Amino acid sequence: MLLVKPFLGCNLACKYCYEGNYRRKHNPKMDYNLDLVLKRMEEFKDLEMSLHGGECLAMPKKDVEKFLAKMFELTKKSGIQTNGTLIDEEYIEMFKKYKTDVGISFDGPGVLSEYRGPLTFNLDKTIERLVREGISTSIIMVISKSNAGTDERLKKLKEYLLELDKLKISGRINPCVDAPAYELGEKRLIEVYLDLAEFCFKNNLRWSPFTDIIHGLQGKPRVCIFMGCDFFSTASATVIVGDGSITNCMRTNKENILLRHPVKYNTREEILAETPQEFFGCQGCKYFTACYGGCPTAAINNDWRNRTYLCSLWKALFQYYENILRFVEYPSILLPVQETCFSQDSEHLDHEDSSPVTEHGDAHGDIPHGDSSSPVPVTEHGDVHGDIPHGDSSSPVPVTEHGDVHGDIPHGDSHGDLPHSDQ
Amino acid sequence: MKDFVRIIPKQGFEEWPTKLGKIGNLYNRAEYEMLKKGFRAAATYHIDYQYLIEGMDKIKKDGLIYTPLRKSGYYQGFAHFHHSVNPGEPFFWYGALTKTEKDAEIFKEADRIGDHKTIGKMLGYPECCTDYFTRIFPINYDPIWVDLEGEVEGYPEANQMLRYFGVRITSHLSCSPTCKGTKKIGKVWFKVMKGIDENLANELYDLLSIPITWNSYHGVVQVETPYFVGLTHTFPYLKKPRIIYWKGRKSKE
Repeated sequence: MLLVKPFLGCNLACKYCYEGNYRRKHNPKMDYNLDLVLKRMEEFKDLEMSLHGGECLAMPKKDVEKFLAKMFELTKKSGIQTNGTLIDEEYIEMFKKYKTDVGISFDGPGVLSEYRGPLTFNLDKTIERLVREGISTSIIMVISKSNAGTDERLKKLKEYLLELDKLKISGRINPCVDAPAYELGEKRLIEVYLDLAEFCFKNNLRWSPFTDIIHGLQGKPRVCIFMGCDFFSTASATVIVGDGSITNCMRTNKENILLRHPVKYNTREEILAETPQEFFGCQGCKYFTACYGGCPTAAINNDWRNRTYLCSLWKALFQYYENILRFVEYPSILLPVQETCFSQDSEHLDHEDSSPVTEHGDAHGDIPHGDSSSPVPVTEHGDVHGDIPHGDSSSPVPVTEHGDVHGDIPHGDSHGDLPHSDQ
Repeated sequence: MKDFVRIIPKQGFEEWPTKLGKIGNLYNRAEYEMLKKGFRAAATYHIDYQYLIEGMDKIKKDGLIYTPLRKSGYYQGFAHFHHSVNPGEPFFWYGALTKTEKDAEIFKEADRIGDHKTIGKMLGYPECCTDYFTRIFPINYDPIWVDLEGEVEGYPEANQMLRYFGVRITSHLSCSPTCKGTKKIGKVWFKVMKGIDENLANELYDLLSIPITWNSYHGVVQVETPYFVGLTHTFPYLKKPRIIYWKGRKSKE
């Protein structure tokens, strides 16, 4: 997916925002090079596109329209991810005109959105309005203390999910990460997600990550966090920023922006497959080929070479759905079935058996990206369609003659590293 | 893990991968010139099997002698070891460049018996660094000052934390960031480099002088500079990362 992020500033100050560090350091201005960004979008016309931010609707309307129009010109539709607070009549008309899929970031009505601020409290009305207008709408919810910290708030959240179902709206329910003051503790997080999983199951609500976890067990395309992500070449998110640079998923850019490496490497999967779980790897985990260690931007100790710190949550959910799939005798669950099952009550994880690392798909952008709440396109048979594949050829980083090979090879002194005897 | 090297520029520094290629070539030329100009008795040298004739012609023209020692398999980016070669696979010739037949024989014999002291001496390495390498390499094949962590100051000439990306002044692994012998021979190398391309040599020196972070963990070393992040495969620290915050030291006197 192509995420167009010309302006990284925002009219809100959500407490857990993953762009917060960048914003505090750079105080983004509206100094984007509109023509250059539009031009660069043409390089990615095979990808699904979404206008992102910061808050993209904080840009002048005429600029927003140019971006949406360009997407429409290139892909016959357009997309946007917004906090929704600036949506007005003119934008609604614009969305209709350019067949815009509107993704709203919203944690639920009223106090459920406490960490996003009072401007967001009544967004449910805006969402209803979008639906009434026939605009394709979806939601990214962040699960935090504000909407799931107490049973009472969680109950309200579930009630709202049912309201959304009446509007035929779904999307993603992402855990709040990298914001310890606002995220749920591990025990509560697992409790909440298992509760939501059951709730969605009973009410036939299709939200990510639940659908993605099932797809992981089935070996189907799924959200990027379970597909094996290269921190330096995020396959599911190609990002254009205001100066026309191409970078990765903004979650990988904390205080500075790294340009996108043109080639996806499987280094993280290789590391995690070989590293024992006690040292933050995934060796022996039966869910490895369904999860690949989770999102590297939510890695233990903030080091992409470790598995995600949400591991216990994902394992609990994989276990939950594995049980269901086994109960209904689903024919092909992609797990080494003889391994010891993970138990929530057990502190002892299965460290002993090594899990075969299968070659998974090449992940060329076929992966729905977790930052986009484009409606999870569920077909009749329940499959999630992947995004449009992107090529690695349109890289911003010039691949020089030497590529990344720095000329170590045909010269002398062996870098001083090699023992001068036979190996 | 497969061999790999990746260079990821930061926003606004797109030119660095190309620049690093040039810096790497400068270093390669300096290695050769250090022998040709008589600053050391030998240099090790790789010749791609496809370019053996051209390589030997140049060596002959420069009045040098090449003694092939073994074949080394192709690799991606940076190698800590000579890779074995299977029949039919492409390879490099690894060997010794010398100015005299006698030195060629001495080097060949030292290589055969694993006499690192003689080899180090012929390559112009400080004795302390040869000792360090001989002692540490069998334990850790990426021996960046294995006893140090945290903030480190030292000579740019001794900074080998960017060598995976072609950025280095000297060809040996220094025994300490403040090794006097490395500083001394480094001055000679730097002079030779400046004779080839003064501006580029100064850029190389500056890059080795500025603060960088070297972070090695789970078999991948990640080096962050103000301009780019470089990654390569390395010795696997399992339990926790070993991190060196290089404070650098300007000492281009």
